[in-house]
Parts: sequence; structure tokens; C-alpha cells
Amino acid sequence: MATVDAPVPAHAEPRGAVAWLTTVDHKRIGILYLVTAVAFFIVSGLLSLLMRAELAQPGIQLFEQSTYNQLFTMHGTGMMYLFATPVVAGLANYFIPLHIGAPDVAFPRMNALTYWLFLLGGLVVFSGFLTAGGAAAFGWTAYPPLSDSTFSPGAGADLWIVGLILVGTSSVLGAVNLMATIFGMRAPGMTMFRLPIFTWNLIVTLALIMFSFPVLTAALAALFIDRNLGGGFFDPSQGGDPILYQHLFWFFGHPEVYIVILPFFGVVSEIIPVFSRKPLFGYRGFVFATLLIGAYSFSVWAHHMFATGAVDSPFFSATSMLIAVPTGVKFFNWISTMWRGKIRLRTPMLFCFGFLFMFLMGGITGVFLAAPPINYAVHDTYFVVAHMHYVLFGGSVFAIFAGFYYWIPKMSGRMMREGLGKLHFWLMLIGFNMTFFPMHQLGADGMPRRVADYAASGNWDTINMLSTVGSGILALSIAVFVANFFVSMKRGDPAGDDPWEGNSLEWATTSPPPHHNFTSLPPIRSERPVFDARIEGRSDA
Amino acid sequence: MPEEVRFFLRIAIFTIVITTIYWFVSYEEAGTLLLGGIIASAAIFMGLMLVAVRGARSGRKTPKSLLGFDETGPERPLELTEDVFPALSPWPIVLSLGVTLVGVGLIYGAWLWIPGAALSLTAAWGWLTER
Repeated sequence: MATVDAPVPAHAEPRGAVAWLTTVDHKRIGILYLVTAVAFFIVSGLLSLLMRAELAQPGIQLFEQSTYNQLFTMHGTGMMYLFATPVVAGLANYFIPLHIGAPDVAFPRMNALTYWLFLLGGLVVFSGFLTAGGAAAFGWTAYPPLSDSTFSPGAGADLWIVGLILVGTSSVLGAVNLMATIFGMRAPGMTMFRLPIFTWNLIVTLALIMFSFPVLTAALAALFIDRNLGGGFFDPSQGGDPILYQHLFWFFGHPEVYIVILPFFGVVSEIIPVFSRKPLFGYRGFVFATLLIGAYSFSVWAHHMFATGAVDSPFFSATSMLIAVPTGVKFFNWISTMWRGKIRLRTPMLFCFGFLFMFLMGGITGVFLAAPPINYAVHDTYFVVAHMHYVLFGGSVFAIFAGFYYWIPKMSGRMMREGLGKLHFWLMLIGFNMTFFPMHQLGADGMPRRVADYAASGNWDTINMLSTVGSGILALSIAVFVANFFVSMKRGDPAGDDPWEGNSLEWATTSPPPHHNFTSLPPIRSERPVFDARIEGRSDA
Repeated sequence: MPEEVRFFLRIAIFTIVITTIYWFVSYEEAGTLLLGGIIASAAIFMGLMLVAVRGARSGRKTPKSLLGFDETGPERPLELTEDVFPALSPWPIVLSLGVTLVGVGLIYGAWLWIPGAALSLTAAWGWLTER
């Protein structure tokens, strides 16, 4: 393999708790992000299990409506702000410098600051459970007037606002840092159109974060002022407008959906070529489709507001449907990559298949919801819950696990157990579909979301019971993953530098990578430098 | 034009088109203003990237050159030295604790601003004077 050698600095990696608390190494910060995000995922998932337990039968069994309101608010908050977005930050932190051949990020200390702001912000949000009035209970969207001081008094709501402002600030600082890293620290030969497709997806995601999170921060600051300082931004009696909040929130909220899906398009696009033994079909087309999705995501925000009657429905319906076109291009890329490839059905690839089918389902119901007549009919019903979970769980979470099984060997030096990985996949696929597919029917029948009780009419009780059993299977699948992780870290087979015969630069270094990431780099002449070097090495031999 | 600049240029052009259409079909101020913000942000980033690229071409120090890389070609050896890696730093965690206390002080009382501000200022000073 032709490589570019470098002198290896004698750099001792610091150890111990203090080293983790004061680290500025992008890999350690990436691991901190990932571990914390998964912890928030488990806590938020447990909240959803409590909700499903309450909904297993009609009537109030375990929680009053007010407690149930806290559960679904903190479930949504935890999953959206404290799991899905930070897990992107974790993967980006760990892999962007490795993908571009850099020794670290552009601003390492600021990188550490973003992690600690995220962790402390998340703890502030969840500390609402410790207050007398309980945690925030107005949904993850916090629409006024429900979220104003009259209808949501108490410190829990204020802690939610302040915590999310800290998390949002962390996200913007992190995005600027990673964007500067990609634009300013690429290795020799790594041009923009030789970047790994994961990194290209992250560039668009980082731009979305930079443009959308400040809007959320502004909306939350205005809400805090309304609640505590006598402001009237969203109070009609003072000349304010609650619809303005919805505009601000969804101008952040819809790009946020793409912030938590585009990086995982990138993950899947890294894995499918490796396990199909083919290059990604239509690299440039894929990049421009990603750009188009990112740009479109800022023009569809008010399809979440059709039911207000205060938005231009034809405009937002048209743009929302148009976004399916570049997404369809990506599906074409993925399928064409697999076409006539030598497919290896290892655990990461299985999760990619899961992602493709589940996200497709979510995408199709998304096109339904982009049609105002259907949207009016199923607004705030379980149909929306089903759609959202097919996109965000069926899409993002399946791809996250694909990424975990693909990259944990690189991060730890140990292979994950294949048998347990496949068990995890099948349990998750069955549990997920059992939980969320029946919700389409519930929504079409008109069952409203965000209620702790429902009428024992029709077959709602049967469908809800089915959904609750499914959620138990889903939880079991996550337990299998956690068990697999700990077993594999203790007794897993050594991974070697390149266990999958990968394409991008992280496979050119050791597993786990050294503190300075690389001791040598292969020449970068395409978007698959490690593949090129492997082929060149075989020809030389 | 470098791809980094084109990236923001494409965003700006696309958003100008969308904003124009949106305004003339809806005459809605909030959304139009928000879309205008995207155009302005993309234009600012585009300008910053142009300045950065010109700076790099004129030989001024950039993060890339500071870390031992440049674009002279794929065969150039990496020049990693120990001093390019920042040391462990307590200041990021201290600053985040200070900022969090200031934020929580907005809810529980201004008395929390005293330790919050003290931690933040100490961390800022430590950070700025750290090698």
C-alpha cells in the first residue's frame, strides 16, 4: 500500500476520570456525546414504556392526565433534542477528522465546551421532574398559550426552556467548529468531491443547524420573557400572536427533522457500498440531492400548521411533496449501488435494509400528510405519531444502529457479536412494526394523540394492547444491544484495522485510532482512498 | 470559485427564489423575514469563505497550516509534532458550569449569578491565557 509516512509524536494518552473531564480530544468527546445521547435515549424510551403501559387498556390505570402530559413531553424532548441531535454530534466528532485525514477538529477546546453545555442543558431539562409542579407538560413543541405562565405555571417549564437554550447554543457552536474543520483541515488531496458521503451529508446538516437553531433559541427566549418578565410576544391581549411562535418553532422544527435524518442517510451510504462491494452509485447526484433536501427543508415549515388555517396551504403542500423527489433520488442511488453487488448480510447491512423499508413507509405517509385534506382529517391523531416514528425511529434509529455495528469495531478495537446483533435487529424490526404500524389504523379511526385515556369502542383496546406488547419487544431489543456491547467489549474478537474492507480514511489507521489519528495516509485520489490503496497493494503484490 | 463558496452561494440563490415565490403567494411577513435571514446568513458565510480562501492563497496562517497540513500535493509527508495537540483543559467544563448557573439563576434568583459569573469569568480568563 502506498502511503505517506509521518513522524509519530511520542504522545501519551492521558488516563483517568480527570482526563475525561478535561479532555479536548475529538474522539473522546465523540464517545462522551455518544454515551450521553444513548443514556438519554434509554431514559426517554423508559418514559414511552410508561405511556404504553397506561394505554394498554382503556381507563386510567397508572397515571393521571397531568402526569401523562409530562411523560410524553419529556419523551419527545429527550428523543429529539437530547438523543437524535447529539448522537449526530457524537458520530461527527469522532469521524469527521478521521474521514478528512485531520489530527483533530479546528477548535478543540470549544468542542469540549459544546459537550458540557449539552450535558448540563439536558440535566437542567430533566431536573424539572424534581420540582414541586413536575416537569414541562406542554409537548416538545411548547405552543403558547398552553406553555404560558397561566396554563403551565411552575419551574419545570422554565427549566425546560433554559436547558434547551443551553443545548441549542451547544449545537450551534459545535456546527461552526465542525464546518470549520471540514473546510479548513482536509488532508492533502482531499478535495470537496473526494469527501466521504457521510461527511457531505454532515456539511448540509451543519448548515441546517447553523441556520435553524438560532431561530429556536430566539423563540424560547421570547417565551421565557413572556412567562417571567411580562413580555407579550405571543399574547394576543398585549398585541402578540401565538401563531408567530408556531412559525418560529417550525422554521427550526422541520429542518430539525432533516438534521436528525440526513447524517444517517450518510451512514447508510457509507455502509451499503462496503457491504455490496461496489462504489456508491451516482456520488455527485447524491451530493446534490442532499443539498436540495437541505434547501427545501427551509420551505416546508408551515405544513405542520395547516390546521391553523393561517398559512398558504398550496405553497407548503407543493414544496412538501417536491422534497420527495431528491429523497427518491437517494433511494435510487442506494438500490443501484446494491444492484448486482456481492451483498454481505452482516449486522450493519441488515440494519440498512431495515432503514430502507421503514423510512420508505414514513416517507410515503409523509406525502399523504403533505396533502391538506388528509392533513386536516388526521391532524393530532395517532396517524401522525405513526408517521413520525417511521421517519425518526424507522429511519434514524435503524441507521444509528447500523452505524454503531459498523464503527464500534473501529472505536473500540473489538468486533460486536454477530449473533446477538442479528437477534437485536429482528427483535427491533418486529417490535417496532408491532408498536407503530397499528397506530396508522388508530389515527385513521380518529384516536387523538397525547391522551391518557380513550373510549373502549371499536377495536381501539385491541390495537392499543398490540402496540404496548410491541413496545415491550422493542425495549427487549435495546437490552440485547446493551448486553451485546458489554459482552463484546470484554470478550469480542479483535477487530484489526479494517475488518469490513472499508473505503474511507478511518480504515487506514489502527482500531482504536491513536491520539494523533494517523501515522500515515494513503494517497487520496478518489472518494475511496483506502479501497484504491488496497487495490494498488494487490496489484503490486 | 472554490466549492466551499459555491455551497453557500447555491443556498442563497435557492432561498432567494423560494422567498420571492412565497412572498407573492402569501404576503406573510414572519416567514418571509425568516427566509430573508437564511439569505443574509448564507451571504455572510459566503463572504467569510471568500476571505478565508484569499487568506490561504496569500500564505497567511490558517488552521490547516497551523496543524501541519497544506494542499501542496498528496505525496507531502504529514508533519505532526506534539505541540499541535492542545493540552487537557479544565476551562470548558468550568465555563459551561458557570453559564448553566447564570441560566438557572434566571429561574431561582439572581444570587446564582454570583457563582455563575465568577466561574464564567475565571474560565474565560484561564481559557484566554492558556497556551
